[in-house]
Amino acid sequence: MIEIKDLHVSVEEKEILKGINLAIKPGELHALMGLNGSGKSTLSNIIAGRDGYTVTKGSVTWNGQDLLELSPEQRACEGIFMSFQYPVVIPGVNNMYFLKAALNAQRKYNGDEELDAMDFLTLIKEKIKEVKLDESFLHRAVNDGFSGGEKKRNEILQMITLEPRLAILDETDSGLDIDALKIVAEGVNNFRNADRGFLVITHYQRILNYMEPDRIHIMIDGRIVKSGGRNLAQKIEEQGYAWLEEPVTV
Amino acid sequence: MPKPTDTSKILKHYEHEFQRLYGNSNGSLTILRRTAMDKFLTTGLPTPKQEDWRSTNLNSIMQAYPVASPKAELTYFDDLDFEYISNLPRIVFVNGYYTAELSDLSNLPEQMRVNSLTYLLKTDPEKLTRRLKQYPSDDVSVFTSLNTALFNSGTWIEIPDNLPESFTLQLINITKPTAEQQSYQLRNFIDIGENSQFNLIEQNIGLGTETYFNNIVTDLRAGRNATIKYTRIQNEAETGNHISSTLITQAADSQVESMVVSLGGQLIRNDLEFKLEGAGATGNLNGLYLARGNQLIDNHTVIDHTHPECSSNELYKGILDDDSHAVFNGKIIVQPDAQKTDARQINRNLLLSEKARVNTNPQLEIYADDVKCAHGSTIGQLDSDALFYLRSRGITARVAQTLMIEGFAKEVLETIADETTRALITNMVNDWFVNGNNGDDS
Repeated sequence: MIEIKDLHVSVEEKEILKGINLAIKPGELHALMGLNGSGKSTLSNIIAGRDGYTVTKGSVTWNGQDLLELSPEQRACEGIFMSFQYPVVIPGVNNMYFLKAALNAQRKYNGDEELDAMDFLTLIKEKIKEVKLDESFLHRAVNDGFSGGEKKRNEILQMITLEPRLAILDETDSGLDIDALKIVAEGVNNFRNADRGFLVITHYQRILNYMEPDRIHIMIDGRIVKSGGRNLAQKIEEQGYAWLEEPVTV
Repeated sequence: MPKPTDTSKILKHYEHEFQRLYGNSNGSLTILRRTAMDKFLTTGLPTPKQEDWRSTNLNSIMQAYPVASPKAELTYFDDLDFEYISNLPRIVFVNGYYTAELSDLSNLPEQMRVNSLTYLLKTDPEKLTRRLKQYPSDDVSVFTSLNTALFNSGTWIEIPDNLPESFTLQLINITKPTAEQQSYQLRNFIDIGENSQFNLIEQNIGLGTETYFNNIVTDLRAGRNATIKYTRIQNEAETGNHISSTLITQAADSQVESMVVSLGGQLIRNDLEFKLEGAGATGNLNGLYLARGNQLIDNHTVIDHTHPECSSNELYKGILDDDSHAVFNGKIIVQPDAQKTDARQINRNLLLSEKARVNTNPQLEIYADDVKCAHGSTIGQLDSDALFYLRSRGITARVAQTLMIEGFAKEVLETIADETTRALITNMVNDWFVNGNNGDDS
């Protein structure tokens, strides 16, 4: 589905990603772990299409096409979703209006009929129950005055409404208390199916207790230094990242 | 841009206009006009050296504009394209001429008095003289003096005490000059009695392609415990210039909320002064200005707290595109007796282009010690993180920008409590956005 090959990325001349290789197939959930500054968020931003990054080498392929050629909105319409580490407040833009505009933009792009206000309302009222947010959040400005946990649940709401094929959760777990974490994890788990891929980016092993990753990758200083199964996360939890500091050749 | 003329020629021109219009009259109003004209001539037109005019380029009105006399110039009105609220009373002026065909004053409360000034100038000039003597407002600006000397049109609104329920009047000034470079000198006198409620929606609409200059002075007085909402929409033609000087005087416990929406016109300058002259009065000032091309929109507001326990809350927001220029100058004065004043002021500006610019200048003059005053002003561009956020959900860059711009304006629009008024203005604002998207759609 998505294939990242030898990806090198710089920000203002400084190399942040130093040769990333990663492939996610439909149905798989990959976890990307690493310390702050290791380049995890750069990778998610590159996939989502944020500007300010220069790809100096390598490729990102999405179902056979060059993903890096596409605008952020095209990528979204193609089925890529990123849950933001820091969801942005957008004053004056109604949350429900935003969700409807996003869903209809994607439907239009994919040749589907746009939903009218009534149908959308029915849909969104159902979805918002899943993330256990009150309906009043639909009528507020996007993320305006939301607590940290509410913002993250609003991200999950967007994910399950837009139904992407690849969902990247960029530190969706950070700053969440255990209840909010469970809600988020449950949202993701209910959303998993054989066609959908996930990349869960996290600092801690905690969220992975509630999900079942197929593969775990450890990132240090712009490189994936180790990949493995679930027990790798457990080892990180127990021993930290220090034992991995010496990059291994893959 | 017209070339600036030697201002002494312009002063002479207006003196000449004065002679032409009132030279043969010697009534008490003319004497008063003469005094105002002399004040105008002595003060002279504003120059950039004056603090209040420092950032305001007045070139487009530095011309010898003949003063138009209200008359039935247009006999058919089919091509006068303007929006209004159809089920509410309205008084419509076309080029300063009260136009009964377009007006509807059938549902006004009986006790209320609405007249065109043209009518009063003919029938009861003494009434105007008394009003002007009782409440001279020539200190607002030199353009007020010019207006006092020359006004020949406008509206008289008088609302008695204790009107049982609130009602709305639309005051619509349409300018569609039939000759080049006309100036229209309009005056509005609005007196609202004690405990009465009034909702005034004033629209200034410019049509056609001739250059013109509207000089409008409004003197509004709110009686004790009166509640007033005053919405003013400026949608002048691209060739229109609009100078307004408004004085709002509030008695104790009155509440006045003004909303000034400026979106059309080559030059718009609003001087708006609130005088809180009784304890417990509340004055709220809201404004939204949208400019593009090489428009200049200048809002100067003054809130004068003279009595204790008054509050004022001001929110002005501007969106500026292309080469446009906006000025916001917000002065808050708290006089020594105005203890327990609570005054807040916010001005926010959104620049959509590299060349757009804004001068924002809060001025606080506080002479009392037990007061709460807060002010803030910002100038910013569209937040690139927010833009990316919207796009990352599939919304195109163009739609995302529009959403964010509308979102920026919404905070001000939401201060309009009356739904019908809000819908009228929201429509106009949306039209403005749509019109701006015509030329550069890629």
